[in-house]
Amino acid sequence: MTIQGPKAARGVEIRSAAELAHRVFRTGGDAHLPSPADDEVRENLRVFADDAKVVSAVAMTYREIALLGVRHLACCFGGVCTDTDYRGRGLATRLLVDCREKALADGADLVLISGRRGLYKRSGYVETGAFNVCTIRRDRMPVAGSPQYELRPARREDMRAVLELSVAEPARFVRGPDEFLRLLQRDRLCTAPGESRLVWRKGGDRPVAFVACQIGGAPWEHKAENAITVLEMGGSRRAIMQAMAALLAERGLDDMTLRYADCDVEVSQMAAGFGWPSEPTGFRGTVGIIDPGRFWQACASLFRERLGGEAFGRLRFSVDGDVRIAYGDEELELAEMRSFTDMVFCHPRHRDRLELGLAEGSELRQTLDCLFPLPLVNYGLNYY
Amino acid sequence: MTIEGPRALRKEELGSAIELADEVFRVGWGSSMARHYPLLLSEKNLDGLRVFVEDGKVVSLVGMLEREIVLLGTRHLAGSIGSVCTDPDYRGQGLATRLLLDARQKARRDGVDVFLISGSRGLYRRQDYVNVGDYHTCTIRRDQLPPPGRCVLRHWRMEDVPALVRLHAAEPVRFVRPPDDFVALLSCGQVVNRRGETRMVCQSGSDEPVGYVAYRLGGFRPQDRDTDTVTVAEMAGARWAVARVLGALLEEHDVASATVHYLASDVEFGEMARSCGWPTEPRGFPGTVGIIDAGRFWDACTPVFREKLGREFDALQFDAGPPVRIAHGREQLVLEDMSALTNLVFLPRHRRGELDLGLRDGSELAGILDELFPLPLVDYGLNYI
Repeated sequence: MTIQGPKAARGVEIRSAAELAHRVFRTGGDAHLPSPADDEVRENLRVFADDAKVVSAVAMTYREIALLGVRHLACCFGGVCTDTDYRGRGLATRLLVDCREKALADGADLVLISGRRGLYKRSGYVETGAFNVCTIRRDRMPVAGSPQYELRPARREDMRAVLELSVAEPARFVRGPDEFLRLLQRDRLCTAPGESRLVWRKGGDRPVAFVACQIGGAPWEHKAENAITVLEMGGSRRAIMQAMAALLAERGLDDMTLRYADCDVEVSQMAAGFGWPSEPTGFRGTVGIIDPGRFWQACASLFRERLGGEAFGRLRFSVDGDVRIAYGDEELELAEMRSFTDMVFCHPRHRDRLELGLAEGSELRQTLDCLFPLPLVNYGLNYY
Repeated sequence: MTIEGPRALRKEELGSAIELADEVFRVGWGSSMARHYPLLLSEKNLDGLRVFVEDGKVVSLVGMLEREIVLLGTRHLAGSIGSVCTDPDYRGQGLATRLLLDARQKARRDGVDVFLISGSRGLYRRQDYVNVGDYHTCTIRRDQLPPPGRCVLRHWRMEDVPALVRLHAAEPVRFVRPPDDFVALLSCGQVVNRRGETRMVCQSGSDEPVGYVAYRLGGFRPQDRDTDTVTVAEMAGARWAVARVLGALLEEHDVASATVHYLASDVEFGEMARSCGWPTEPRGFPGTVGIIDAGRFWDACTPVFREKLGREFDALQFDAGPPVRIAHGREQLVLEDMSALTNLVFLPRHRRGELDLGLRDGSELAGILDELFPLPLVDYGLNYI
């Protein structure tokens, strides 16, 4: 038979794709693939099929994200898998190209992939992002004389307050109240069991924070089954830490792991003040700015604010295959998607790897240092 | 002579406008409004200075400065109104009223959707500007402050400006303040119309700022101006670090307490205040506010409304009018004037009982509006005019 694709999955191919994912990921079959319930999803499940049997698949999900108030349409690629009998033929590579073209046509400027395989890196996606990870000992967490906060499950009537907390976060997935509630009520977070809770001040009339934790970890992480890893939070950091300290005590745990954005000055200050050893880390997958022009245009208001009108006016940006950024007589040429993506999101402590070729004291370099890195969303409640 | 106006100030009249403002607002100060309000009373802002002029002399002035503001990621062009004054010999002729209307017309042409006025006079209320906004003020005695830990204060330097902009731009509710504005406002020596300064908050041993505080000497209300306190009118960055440096600020100025103003939506500082037992009072915007272009304001808010409501947003219909109409299914809310819409959007939670929307109990539309509003509003901070 002839292998057909890349194309949207149709009819029985939906089930076939789910079965393929089950075989490859050894999951319940639906963890990495969308429900075949509506046509929109079908269009976004891209496959190669051999006689109606799906032999390679990539699922796409569109998500609006907000980075410092700037909205972008991100396309998340997930569930990338190929039948073992069909590997080595470049099917997944061709699917990635197909998905990228579709994402571009649909208006996305950014792709997030839940994986770090060579496949993605060869396709121009990069490990980047400015996050930190630290292990926090319970005896080094902020505590009050008596517990001031408590953790409660989310309810529909709490969602107004939760959204008010969420929209103030500098980097977030945009979520409506129903979806947000569903995500907060799930018992999985990314690839492991999880639980999400709202943080209430005792006697308070509304939650002051939310926190999403993995409990244990994925099998390959070899974590204790009750280990806690905070992957996402919103609202008062201090309230979260106090509430988590109480939770650790209640569960007899000595520490927890916290992943946080490098731009989160409140947590960074707590880390410095309480002596939490923090290490830089990146986005939990790979990233690519697939439409640099659209991305730059979306950021224009923020860039103008950071630089001022005159300096922003001197900054010229063009895309003609390569990305070119010029300031005065200086010009930076970024030939590959990975170079531009890494320049935008690379952790401050890793920026010396960028090799932009700009001299010390270069005005263009100083200008770019004023703009970047931008914060990025990370997988937490949203994982695909 | 004939009084000319309302119109924009001309370059050669700038001195006269400043003279009028100084005569009204700076008697006995020994310094000029032009120094204290470098963005407003400047050649770059001639179009924003609306005047009546007689024989080359400015006899009535409404100062307007158009700047973007950010409310939870949505951008609006705001017109800040200040330095509203009329020569005593020309009062009672309705000149300021006409200038305010003229400023509003110009602002609408320019794309402004919100007016922020640093005053609460009848002049403004008669034109439907209202007192709204949700802020807190807490007063902290020296013995209630946390120890400094490793946090230190230092003066700002020109090379801090990118960090200042970056810290400020991470605030979800703010005036958009590019570097030139920052430099002008930090250099003028004023914070909310009183002598004040801005200091960087750093970790000891590091020069990299993790926050900043802009404060004025004395209290906030006119009757508190010379009391034994410093008033933090604006902050950005790590709240806990800011709290830790307040003691150093009190020491430096040899005062007994710090008064900190913060947005009610600033959940981090609010929780710290509660945890530390700092007495806190609510307050409104220090002046009056009006949404002067309902359609533009609503359109700008659409992304955040959609996020808050999800698919329900698609069932909401908005007609900018006038009058403004908001409908959902068979229910409709009619807002007859600007004050009604401004109150709906910005009236704080503890004053929502003042709203008389006329919607029945259990109304779905009322429930939806409760999901959307109140929105937080910028506080003046360094952008006071």
